[in-house]
Amino acid sequence: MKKLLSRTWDLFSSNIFAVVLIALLAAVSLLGTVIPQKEASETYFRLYGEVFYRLFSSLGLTNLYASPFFYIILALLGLSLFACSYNRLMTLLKGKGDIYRWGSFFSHLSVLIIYLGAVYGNLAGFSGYDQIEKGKELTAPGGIFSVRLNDFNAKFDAAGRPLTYTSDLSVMENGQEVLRKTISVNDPLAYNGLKFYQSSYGLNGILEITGHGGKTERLPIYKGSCATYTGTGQMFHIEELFPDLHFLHGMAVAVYEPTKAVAFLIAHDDRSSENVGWLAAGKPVRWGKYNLKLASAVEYTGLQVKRDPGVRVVYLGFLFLTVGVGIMLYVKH
Amino acid sequence: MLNIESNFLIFTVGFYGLAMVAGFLSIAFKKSLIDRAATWLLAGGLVLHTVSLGARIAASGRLPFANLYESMTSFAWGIALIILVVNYIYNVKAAAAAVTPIAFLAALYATTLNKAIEPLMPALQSNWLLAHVGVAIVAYGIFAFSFGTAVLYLVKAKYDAKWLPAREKLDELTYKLIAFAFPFMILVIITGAVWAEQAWGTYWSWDPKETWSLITTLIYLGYLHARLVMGWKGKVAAWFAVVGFLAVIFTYLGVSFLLSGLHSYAQ
Repeated sequence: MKKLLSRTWDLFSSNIFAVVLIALLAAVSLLGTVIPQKEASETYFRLYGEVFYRLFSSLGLTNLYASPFFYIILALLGLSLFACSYNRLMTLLKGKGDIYRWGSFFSHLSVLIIYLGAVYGNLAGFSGYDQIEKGKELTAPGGIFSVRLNDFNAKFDAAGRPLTYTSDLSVMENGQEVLRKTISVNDPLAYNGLKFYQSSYGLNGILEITGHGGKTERLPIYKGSCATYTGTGQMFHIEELFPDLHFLHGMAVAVYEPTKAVAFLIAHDDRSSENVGWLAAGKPVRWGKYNLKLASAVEYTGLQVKRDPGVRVVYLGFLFLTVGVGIMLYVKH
Repeated sequence: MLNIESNFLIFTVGFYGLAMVAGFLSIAFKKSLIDRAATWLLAGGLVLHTVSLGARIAASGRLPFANLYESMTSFAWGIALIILVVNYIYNVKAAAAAVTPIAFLAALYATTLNKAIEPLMPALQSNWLLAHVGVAIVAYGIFAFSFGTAVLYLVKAKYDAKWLPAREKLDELTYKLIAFAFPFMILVIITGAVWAEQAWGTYWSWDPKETWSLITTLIYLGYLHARLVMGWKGKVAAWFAVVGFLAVIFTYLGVSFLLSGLHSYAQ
């Protein structure tokens, strides 16, 4: 038993084993860039057919970086790094070390620290996505405070290319504003261990449909959604939903100083689809036997919300890695 | 401004092309005059290239890293500069001649790309852009040079060409270049990770570009381990260096064109 342990330790300490693991990690990571990851099953059906989809899926290749197989490689590499770091430290503690060996020790240790930070962050943190409509509040995870969206702004240049996305946010505690910040894509809001990142934006609208029987249905819509009039099963696809609209070189461009929302609708059933056209807020449009009205539309901002206490640990690992590798490769020995 | 920028870039391509031809001739004829001509043509090209980039920066009012054209001309500029610096330090004319085509082709490719000035998209509006692309230019440029020396090593090993530097010198230089560039490659990943954490709330998401930068790093890591710990030298090491640079090219270009993700230029 002792012999087995010592053999195992020798294996994890061996350089060949480490290089093999590095090669294996590179090869498997590569596989994950060739096979699209975390796509809908239809995508895989289309690309590979049913047999290979089932094979790939059962092997975890469609979500490779979270598969047991991948974690095993990472864990083995972690053990190898631990053995290398430990052996180097023992040599150093016996006083047989120069600066190069310290660099080597810190380089290997740093990757272990990054591992620890990643695992800690995964276990103790979380990440999610939320939307806040203008003027509304989002209760932050944990329930201690909430975040209100005062305003959202998207600026575009004359050709319709995005310049900035900004959300004016207030942190509310017991109905009182305790912090106000306008976030943008590279400038998140941090409060009480949570971070809020500008992630997306859009409009939530209400579509009123009145069928020939006179019954009116109020359906929530957003860009890309599909509203179904339950009375007849008629579907309306919301191709576009803008706060306001002007035309430029024949293309529709959003102007984010909303005065009037505009939607573009396509009616469809199982067999065919037909353009309904543009629908301006408050102005009913007749299509076939239906009366369609965009009753209201309100902007929302999409926020990535997360807590990751492991980030600091990971950054410490980054620091050690930079210093360690720098010493190994730049300091003469 | 576009005229200065694009005309000077065309002159640059001409100078790099002449430097490349002179470099090849100098290998073939071993005349120090042609040697020096190759260096001075490359240096002249770099001056013109700097004017072109300066005009771009002046016209756009920001760093020239917003789209594929700007990125390509910046990388070509970085490679030309690195060839001159490495050649100045180590005096390896043959290797410089072998790498000059990369600068030439990158600059030539840049002339064919869409030069319209576009606003920096919101995700790129960060101080990390300069650090991230800056270290990438250094890392990729030096890896390009190590590719050149490794290729020369393999040529020398196969044909024992008298007109090439000694094998040991090429092997040693390949190692020195990779050892110098590796910490910059680590910094490419670290700056990218810290930036991604700030912009998207995650320092690593296995996006294809990230994954390929990791694969590239792992290949060079393998090279360094094989060499430093196990004493591998020669052909195997040279092939490692060649494959490493192919991975660099794929990380830089292949991912953007063939795979989708956050770094995609084709929007």
